[in-house]
Amino acid sequence: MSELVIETHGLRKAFRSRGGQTRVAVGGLDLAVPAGGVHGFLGPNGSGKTTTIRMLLGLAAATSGQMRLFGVEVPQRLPEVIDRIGAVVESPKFAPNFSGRQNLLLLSRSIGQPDSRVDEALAEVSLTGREDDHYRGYSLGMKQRLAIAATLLKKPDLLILDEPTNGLDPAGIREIRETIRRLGASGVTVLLSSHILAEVQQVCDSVTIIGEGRTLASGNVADLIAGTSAWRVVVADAARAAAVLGAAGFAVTTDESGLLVETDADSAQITRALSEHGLHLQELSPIRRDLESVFLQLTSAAHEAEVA
Amino acid sequence: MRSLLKVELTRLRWRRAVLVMLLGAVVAPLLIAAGVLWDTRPVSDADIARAKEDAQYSAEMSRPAYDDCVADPSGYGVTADDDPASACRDMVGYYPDSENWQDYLYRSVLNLPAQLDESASAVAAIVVILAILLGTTFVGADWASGSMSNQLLFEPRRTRVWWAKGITVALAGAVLTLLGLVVFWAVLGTGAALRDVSVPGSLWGDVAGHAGRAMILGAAAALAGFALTMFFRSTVATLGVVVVVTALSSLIVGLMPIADPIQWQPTMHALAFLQNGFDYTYWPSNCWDSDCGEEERTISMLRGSLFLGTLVLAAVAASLASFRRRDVP
Repeated sequence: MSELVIETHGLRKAFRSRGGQTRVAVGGLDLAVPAGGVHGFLGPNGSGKTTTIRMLLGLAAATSGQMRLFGVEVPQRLPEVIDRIGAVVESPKFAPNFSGRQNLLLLSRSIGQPDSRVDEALAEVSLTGREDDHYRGYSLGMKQRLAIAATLLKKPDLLILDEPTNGLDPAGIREIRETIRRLGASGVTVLLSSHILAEVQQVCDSVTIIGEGRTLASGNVADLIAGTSAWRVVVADAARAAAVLGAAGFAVTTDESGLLVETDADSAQITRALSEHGLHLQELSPIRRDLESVFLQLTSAAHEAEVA
Repeated sequence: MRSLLKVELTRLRWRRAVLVMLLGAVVAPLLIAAGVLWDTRPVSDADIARAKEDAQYSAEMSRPAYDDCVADPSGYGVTADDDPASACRDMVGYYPDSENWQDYLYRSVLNLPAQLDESASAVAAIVVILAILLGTTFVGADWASGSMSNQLLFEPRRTRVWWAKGITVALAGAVLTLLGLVVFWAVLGTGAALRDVSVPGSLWGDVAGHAGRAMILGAAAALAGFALTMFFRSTVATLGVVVVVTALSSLIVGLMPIADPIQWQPTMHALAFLQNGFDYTYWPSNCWDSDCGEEERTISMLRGSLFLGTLVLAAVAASLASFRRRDVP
């Protein structure tokens, strides 16, 4: 079993509003991120992703629960491991009247890094040549890249990126995703928080899906979307086949091209049920799930449970 | 801690608002010193001639009243024991032959010791306000831009971060105040030397004492401004509190059922600290006659320093506790 870089158990965060009501942002979250690769942290807006990250990084206090980074309890022992962690939480936040380079120099010097490290980090995100411009004059993409450069100042073992492609144009998104993949491949563990399913599916090796502040599913992306959730069945007598499969306990819907059978069962069970009634298959093809269908299925179920 | 302190000093040096404060700490004392020198500029022959003309005109204008007074002294309150001519002259202000022409120069002589409690305290007050603004805007910018959270991602020990910033603004406040007073006294000292105005030997010691206390006040003011902004996380909120404390405190304290409101006014305690004690006249409440027990009272420098120190300590304690516990956006 690989070492866990991030662990949370029963992590909870409740906010008290001015009216005295309590709003639970994170409600007992269990999170386990193994070392290496890119781990997606997926959830709809308001599901508690950013709050979880802020608690991990000591910016917000947990109401209850345990958190570990690199095996040490945080926030109590966060200073011991903070030099191994780079993070961008929500939008990039720098002093607008300082240049990009000045902003990084202040951060770099606070952890005793030589000034040359700033130039290296700027080069890594292709900001060389614009480093002396005021931060307020940067485009959103440049701001995001500067934020990533700031995370690289420490040469981190863990990179936490919270919605890093928000507001970027397609070229900027591709650039950031390539950077993330490159970092993940280089041995850095990347926690990528996102609500963009395609992004997580493209970039991440593993994923934790959360909803309503709780873990809904976790594992390798390939495992989560593996397994066929539905089969397309084409037979000569579709109506009779639908009746037979329905009687055998399958959820069947009919469309123009044939039958859609939603089940986790394998193809042999469908074949056997039909052949026992003299129905011969013309086509039996799997309909692969994508992360979107998994995500929507999990989050809608979680929402219904919450409402109930 | 040392590297954090260096970083904060660098951040302070790079902030444009701090440069504006520094400029203010030079320009404001320069203007005040220039004003003092102008008001005490040497008298020219033309000034003397104009003053004598004014005195002569005034004497002519008061002559009828003088004549009336001599003719009927009792009507002007002159008693039989007085010499009518002399008493009436003083009574109506009749000075023939321009003998009081100096009164019409409207010009005082440059007196450096007198400036300690006058213009120098005004300069100190201005630079102390600048120090508050410095402490406030320095960290207000961190909150406004959201970069405070970024800084905490590199140094999560919040108490260290607080103190590194607090020490930085306190040092800057002290330097700002010293700079203002050095500029002020340098200009006045140069002016006095050029005019051959004699300066008492003890003056520069008193100036050093005044400047030293002003530096402490400047450092404390900057620290208090910083602490309040760390508490409120807003420059505007802090400036609101500063306006209430400095400008409206006398009104607010005066409205409260307190026997001697001056004893509770922060600005009076600041003056007491700065001027090595502050004297004032105390009138009992609901007393409007001239003879109902008013008395001279003093706020000592010790009391002033304890009063202000308590306020600053309270601000620091609340700010530190808040910064350590509250979530950072």
